[in-house]
Amino acid sequence: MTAATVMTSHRLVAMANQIANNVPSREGVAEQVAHHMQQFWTPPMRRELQLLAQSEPELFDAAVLDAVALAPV
Amino acid sequence: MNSVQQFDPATDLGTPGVLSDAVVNVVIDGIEIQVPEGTSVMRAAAIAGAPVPKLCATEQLEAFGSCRLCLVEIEGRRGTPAACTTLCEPGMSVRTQSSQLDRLRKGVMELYISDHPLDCLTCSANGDCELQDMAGVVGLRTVRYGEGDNHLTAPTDASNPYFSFDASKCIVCSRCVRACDEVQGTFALTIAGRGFDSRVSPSEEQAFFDSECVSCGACVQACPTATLQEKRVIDVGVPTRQVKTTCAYCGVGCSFVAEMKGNEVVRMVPDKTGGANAGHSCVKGRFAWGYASHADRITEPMIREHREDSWQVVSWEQAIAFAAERFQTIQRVHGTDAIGGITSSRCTNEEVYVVQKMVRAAFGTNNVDTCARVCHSPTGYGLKQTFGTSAGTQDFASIDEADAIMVIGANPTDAHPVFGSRMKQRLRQGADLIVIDPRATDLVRSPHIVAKHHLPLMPGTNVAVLNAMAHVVVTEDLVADAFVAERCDATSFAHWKAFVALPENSPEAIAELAGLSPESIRHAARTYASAHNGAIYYGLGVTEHSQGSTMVMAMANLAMATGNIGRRGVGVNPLRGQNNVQGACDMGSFPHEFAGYRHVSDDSVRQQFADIWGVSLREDPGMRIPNMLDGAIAGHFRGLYVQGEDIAQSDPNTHHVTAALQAMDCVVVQDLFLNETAKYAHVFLPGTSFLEKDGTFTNAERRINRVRPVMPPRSGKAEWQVTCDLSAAMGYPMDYPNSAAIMDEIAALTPTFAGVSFSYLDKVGSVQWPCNDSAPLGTPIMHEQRFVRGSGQFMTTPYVPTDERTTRKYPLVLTTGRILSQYNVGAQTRRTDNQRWHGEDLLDIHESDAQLRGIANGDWIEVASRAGTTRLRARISSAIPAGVVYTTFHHPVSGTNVITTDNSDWATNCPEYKVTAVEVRPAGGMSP
Ligand code: SF4
Ligand code: SF4
Ligand code: SF4
Ligand code: FES
Repeated sequence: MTAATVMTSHRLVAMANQIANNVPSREGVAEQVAHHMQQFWTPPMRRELQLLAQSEPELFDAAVLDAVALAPV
Repeated sequence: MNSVQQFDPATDLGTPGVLSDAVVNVVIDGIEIQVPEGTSVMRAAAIAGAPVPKLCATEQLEAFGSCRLCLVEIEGRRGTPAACTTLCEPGMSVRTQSSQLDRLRKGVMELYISDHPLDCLTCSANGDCELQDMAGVVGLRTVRYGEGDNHLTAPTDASNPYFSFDASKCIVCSRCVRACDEVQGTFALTIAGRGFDSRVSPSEEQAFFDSECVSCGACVQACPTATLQEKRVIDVGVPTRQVKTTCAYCGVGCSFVAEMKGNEVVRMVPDKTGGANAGHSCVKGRFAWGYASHADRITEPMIREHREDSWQVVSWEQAIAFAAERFQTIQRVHGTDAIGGITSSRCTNEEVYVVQKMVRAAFGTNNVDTCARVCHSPTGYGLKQTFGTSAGTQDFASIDEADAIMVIGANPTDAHPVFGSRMKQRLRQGADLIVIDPRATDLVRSPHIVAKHHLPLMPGTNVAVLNAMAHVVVTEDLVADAFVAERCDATSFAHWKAFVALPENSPEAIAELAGLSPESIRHAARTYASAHNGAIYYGLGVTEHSQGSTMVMAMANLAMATGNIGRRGVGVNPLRGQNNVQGACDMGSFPHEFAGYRHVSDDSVRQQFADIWGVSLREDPGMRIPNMLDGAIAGHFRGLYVQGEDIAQSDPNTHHVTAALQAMDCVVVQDLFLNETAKYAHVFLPGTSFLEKDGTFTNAERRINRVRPVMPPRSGKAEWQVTCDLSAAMGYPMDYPNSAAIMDEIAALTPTFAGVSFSYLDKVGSVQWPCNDSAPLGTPIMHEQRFVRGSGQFMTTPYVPTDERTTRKYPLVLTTGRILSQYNVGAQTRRTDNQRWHGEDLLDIHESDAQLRGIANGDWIEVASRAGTTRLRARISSAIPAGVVYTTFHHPVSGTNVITTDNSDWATNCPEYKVTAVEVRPAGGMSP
């Protein structure tokens, strides 16, 4: 991975974490995040997030890790 | 150009029309007519076909009764009352002609003419002067008064770049003064002196340019003589034909009559039948159209192999073939999704529609986005979640019935001036004003208007403040229970109510964080919630935050809870920045939606498009602008078509944007000028100005207005034709005989546009979508019986502070905005005389912050953020609180977006322009 790809990948994680922090309800956060990504993220972005969830889970909010598991790509 | 109509000045009925259900019958010169109660005799006479001579009256202004030219006789009444100030009464019988009236009127005219230069033949207003017309109407042939005291040598004030004031021709009718007061609401003019010495004076006997005048031109339009006149008319002569069209600047979408001489615009006159503006305008629309013929305009296609090479002028065919070949090569090597396009809110609905169609059908990807990403994408998201559709709820006229007006993060007198004037009219009638904005915008205190509440909150705390207002509403029993029970979803309401009632959402809990007193929040909430009609108007100060979408939902919640939705005088209304932001969004410019806001994954919708377009379409959302830029830096996104937008100047974190553009193999820019983005382009396709376009714009109130060409495209091709050519070269021909046919396709595929066509718009003037079988005349007010989504959905809106925090290194919060005379990145207005009002961007800083740093007014300063550094000059200002600095972004040299960061709205990635942590220090010397 180049420095540029690392940076943009980390931005994906930051975006996902931000979504988890902001979805309206505090119940079912993972489902809301998964739905949001389904609606607005391209499949390659979702795939990349999935790979990062395996390689660098420490960057992720727990709800996003759950969401990644829920969201089919 | 079949849309050109012949010159036919519309009749001025003398006094404003009246809305009344009651009617009165009157007889005018033997003709019986019926008029609404409250109509003047003057207006009734004009309607009856017996117009009365007039000088001080015009239907744009309330009657004043000063010139005494409009005298009439009324049966059973003594004397000769003025027709403009006398109201019709049942059974009244009026005579507009008699020998007595002739004599009196001639006497009045004689007095005027004896103090007026008799140079009609060489006067620039010859043929367009009411004084001249009236002299003819009353049959004045001789003037008995000899040389006495007069004003014939009074000076001319030519300080305003667009109009001049020749005092020798002034008849002191006060129409200009009243236009400035009543229509524009600036109160810049007065009649100074008394009797013979009375004269029109801007502010305190200043020159127009130095006065409070905002150059809206209402006074020029109202002036019946050549006293106040456009310099263009003086230079070019009176127009010979006219074409109705729409302003291409802001989201108000004012209608104009372009008055032409051949293919040259003489002047733009706001159209009094215009649905959005009713005859008013601002300095941009009326005067700042000269950029369209500016020498910087590029009118021939150009290409270059590498972005370091100089541009090569080529034929249209070569440019299109070059772009198509590059895009195809990228797709072959890097995949279908390695290219995409950006549509522009400055272009017509038809131009935008064909670009997104080209991306989806010819490129075969959903990688299409629009500049609304960086302004109102949270509006789309937030209003769709709560109400079910991505648009403002009201027409502009609705504000005439609002009792409490809450303006949040918007500065309508600068950014939406004609609507700002309308809002001020309502405020002067006594509606309460609540301003939620870090800055004391002009609205907070202006002539005859003082905001009842101004909440100067810290940037970034919008959601906390709205939650606190909602807390007051639910805990002080201010909920409109019946409305909520009948119209809204009960479960979501119960959740929301419990959430906002939590102590952590109380005004007391968030006051310190927001920099406000708890009482001010409580009072503002009570004013809004207890008004008979409470209306919310908002701008980019709501959307351009990390919680932009949450804030839109918070406002929608508050409006539903207080029953302020679904009738005139209420609503939640985005003030859209660019002229066609609404339209660009409606037309399917977002990567996840087809026209009419329908998700690409909806099989039946996708099938309809696939059937009519004759291709199969992708069901997964494409990339947004920031995703494309990130993709370019990562190396997998390599080609971009940019329609009429300057992302290198307008998008945040300039370094990141330019690095992304630099990483691409093919950037195609379609624009009027070689803008900042074009520095990184390989293909430049010359665009058309609004004066050359044939199409439609949709304004902030969903009003679809016609844009008509007044001259042929200077590049020889309409923009939509160029897009179609590129699409064809990419293997997907799009054949339209004209732009009307594009609208026909939009109507066929978009249920909310089903009733729209050019011929219908030409017939009715304009229409607000939804316009279809269930609403053939359009929809001024939405959600009247039910919400578009059924029942209104409350969304809980937890406050999450932005990651952009102030620190010891970056202790100040920078927020951005715009000013009246310039527009957006300034590409157009900087190429007009509007430049004289705002030649550079300044950084407003509070006195205490300036003192602390040793900064004086006018000093060059350096502004540094985590993203970058730029230099500006400082202006000490009391309009912003300590801890906050403010600037505009109209000039590329200021590099405002060099310092804004990548932070964005959580739901839509709309950039957080309104909050950047910065430090400011004296720079010394000049800007580099
Ligand atoms: S400038 Fe024109 S409108 Fe104003 S008072 Fe003089 S004549 Fe009337
Ligand atoms: S141009 Fe507009 S603001 Fe200026 S004096 Fe005339 S009406 Fe007033
Ligand atoms: S208010 Fe907006 S639409 Fe109207 S003239 Fe001014 S810039 Fe144009
Ligand atoms: S037009 Fe009626 S008094 Fe002037």
